Amino acid sequence: MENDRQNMRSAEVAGQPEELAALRRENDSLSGQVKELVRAEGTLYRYQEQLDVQLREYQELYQFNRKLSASQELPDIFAHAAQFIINNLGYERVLFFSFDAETDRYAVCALDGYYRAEDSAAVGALTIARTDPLLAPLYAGEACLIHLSGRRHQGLEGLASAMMVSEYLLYPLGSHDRPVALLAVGNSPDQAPFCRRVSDSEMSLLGIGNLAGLLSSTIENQILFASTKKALEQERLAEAKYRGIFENAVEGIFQTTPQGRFLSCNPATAEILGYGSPEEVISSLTDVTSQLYVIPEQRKALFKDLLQGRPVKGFEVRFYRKDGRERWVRLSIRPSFEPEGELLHLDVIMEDISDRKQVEKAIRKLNEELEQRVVDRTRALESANAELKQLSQELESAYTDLKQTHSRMLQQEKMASIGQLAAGVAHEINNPMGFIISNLNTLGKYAQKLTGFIGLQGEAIETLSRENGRSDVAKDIPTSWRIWII
Amino acid sequence: MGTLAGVGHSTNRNPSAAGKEAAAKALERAGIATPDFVLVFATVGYDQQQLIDAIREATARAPLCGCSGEGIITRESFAETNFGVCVMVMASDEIRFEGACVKGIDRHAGAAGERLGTALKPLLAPDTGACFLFADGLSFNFDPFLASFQQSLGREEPLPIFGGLAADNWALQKTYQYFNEEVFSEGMVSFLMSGSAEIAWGINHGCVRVGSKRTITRCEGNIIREIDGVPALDALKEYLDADWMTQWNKSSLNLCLGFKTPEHIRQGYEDHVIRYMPGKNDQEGYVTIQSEVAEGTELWIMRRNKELISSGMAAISHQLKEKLAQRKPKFILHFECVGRGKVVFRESEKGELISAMQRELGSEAPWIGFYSYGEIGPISSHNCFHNFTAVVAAVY
Repeated sequence: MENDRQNMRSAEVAGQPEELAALRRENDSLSGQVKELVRAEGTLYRYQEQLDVQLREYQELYQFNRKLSASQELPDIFAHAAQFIINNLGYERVLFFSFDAETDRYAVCALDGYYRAEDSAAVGALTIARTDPLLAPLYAGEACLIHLSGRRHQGLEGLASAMMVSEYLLYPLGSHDRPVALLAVGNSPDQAPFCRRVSDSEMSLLGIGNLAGLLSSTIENQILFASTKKALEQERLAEAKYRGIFENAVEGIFQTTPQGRFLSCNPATAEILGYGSPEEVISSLTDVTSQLYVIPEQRKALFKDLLQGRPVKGFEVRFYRKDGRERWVRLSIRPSFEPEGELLHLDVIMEDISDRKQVEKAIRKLNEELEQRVVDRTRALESANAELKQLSQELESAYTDLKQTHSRMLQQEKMASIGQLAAGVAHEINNPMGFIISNLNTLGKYAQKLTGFIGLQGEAIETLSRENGRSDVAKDIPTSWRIWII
Repeated sequence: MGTLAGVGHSTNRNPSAAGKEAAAKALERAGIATPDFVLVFATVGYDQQQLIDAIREATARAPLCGCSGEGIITRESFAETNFGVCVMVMASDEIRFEGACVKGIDRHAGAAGERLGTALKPLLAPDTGACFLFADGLSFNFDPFLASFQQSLGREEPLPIFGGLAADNWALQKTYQYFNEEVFSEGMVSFLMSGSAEIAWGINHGCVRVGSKRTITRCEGNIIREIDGVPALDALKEYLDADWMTQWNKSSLNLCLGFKTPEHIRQGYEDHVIRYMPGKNDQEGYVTIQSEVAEGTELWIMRRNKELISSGMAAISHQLKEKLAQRKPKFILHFECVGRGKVVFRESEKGELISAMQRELGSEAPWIGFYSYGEIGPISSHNCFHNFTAVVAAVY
């Protein structure tokens, strides 16, 4: 530019008006080009920013879609979508209404962007009747309801007020005639300038429209998935149930070809037959007739019934185990036939009855032993009975003797008692008697001495009487004394 | 202890949750529970009071300063969104942070500067090394502010001022300033940094001239009424998009005014200082800028140049690395013009540009900043106002 001006000045100085005019034209042209360039650059930057926003939006939508694919529950889907709408699409508030068949209303099931507890509590209780005329355009196929700030529409305004927004979009999710949910996004008047504005322009609706479409198909897929999942779950449960029975049954369950090759078997079959696994049974036993049956002819005999379509029940047979030992098994066999009537395979339930057989044998042996013991005992008892009789007689005799002895002993006892009594009495008498006797002896000695004295006195008296003529002195002695003196 | 600092951010749409999350991350990274000082930058989609309340609660009500921006800048995020917040917490036994605020600038930036200077003067200490300023980007006029501020502060050597003007994501309606628990508009918040810390910084704009020299032929204060004798808007509209009348906030970004860098700072800077035109008057045909201008001032219409911006960022890194000389910064503040963000760079380009600078300056220092409506940073010991510029200041 500076050069241009210098050139122009030079031209003026040189007095070359044509050249000067040409330079001015060139200058104007260049200036115009620069201005155009600056404007174009501004436009470019603006498009670039918009492109960046759109690109980011698509990238985020793609990421969100992947996240959505991993979500299988509606509440998760709504929660993720609410986050996406707030954080990525830039709307201030979002509400999901799910249809409640019982009340025939759409009720808020997820929300975001309400950051005051009282606000979220209020909108959380919001419901819309399925029959609300507001929703009729959606049922008729409208992509969404649009309420712009300041626009008058009684129904839409009422819902705006209830949702605490001044502008919003309402999308049906799922099929239009019977949406399973509704999606509302919007902004409050205060926050609208800082959020993605609600607009009816195609560009503005692109992001949220894409999301609503994505959510609709996800929800439909989810519903389909849920029903498929339910059916699969039922099938899985049934399969698991029968698989459980098959795997955990105590009885062996297996299929064999008519030729005697195992097709399948459960673990119990392997265990009964002494193999490590069902696979080992299948690979090892290629001819059950010869490899299993202790008496191969028994299997051949079974085929008479089986070929006629008659199942076999409770057939007891001995099988060889892997280790060569024999096991008793009880077989129930059902034949399966091809539509053409050819025997296809045999479904067999095998019960290991070896223990039962052993027990039965033991019981039989025990019975025999018992019977023998009864006989022996009877015999012993008869013998004992005779001895008993003999003994009884002896006992009777002994008893009689005993009674007599007892009687005698009783008598002796009585006598002993009397003796004892008498001894006691005698003892009681003997003492005083001893005393008396002892004193009597002493008294005797005294009496003897007195007698001697009396004799001496008598002699003295006699002597004296004789000497004095008086013989009556003896008369003065009491009679009782005389006795003792005598 | 030294200085422990940590930065956390959140883009959660819930203001309480966002504030709590950003503060919790910052505290965790700083390894502290109770900070001495909290710096906050957030965008305007949030309920600002709810946001600040949550941060205050999470940071033990430590002194807080900050403002709204068009976007936030941290090591992990350069989010130009309506819902983003970043928080830096600091605890230090070597640096002190003391702040003040002024409300109601109301186009009287000179008076506001005087009030702020008066409020900060008692907090000045011999070891005060820098002043950080965050002012309303819609009602700020730097030149009268600076004159009265420096005068009322009364320092012989001007205190270096760093900062940015609060933004509101192009709404051009209301920006916010934060001071402790208060959230207000049309004000300014500032804090002084004292103690044993130094500051290194780099400033670069990356704009080029378009066309020839113009002259301001009529103006008053920060209003440019005529350029080359025609209404300013008439002189400019040829360069603007077709919808410039209704989309001025974005259209005006593609065009800025360049004034010859004053002689006293020319040595440390580029040829032009750049001015954004945040306001216009269609009837009277004038535009407003964020500093004073005088009649007869030469100006050039300028445009951003991506290559120059990129090389300018690299130049800032080199400049800072040279000044730091192997010393590790305690934290880094970054004030980036809104005109240098997503309106000119694609997301990936912008991310790579800032990340490259962050990598260059080391991956450890806490890094916080915002996209502003104007940047403040000294050139050759003169405090200057900038537009379309990046100001990066490393405290070490």
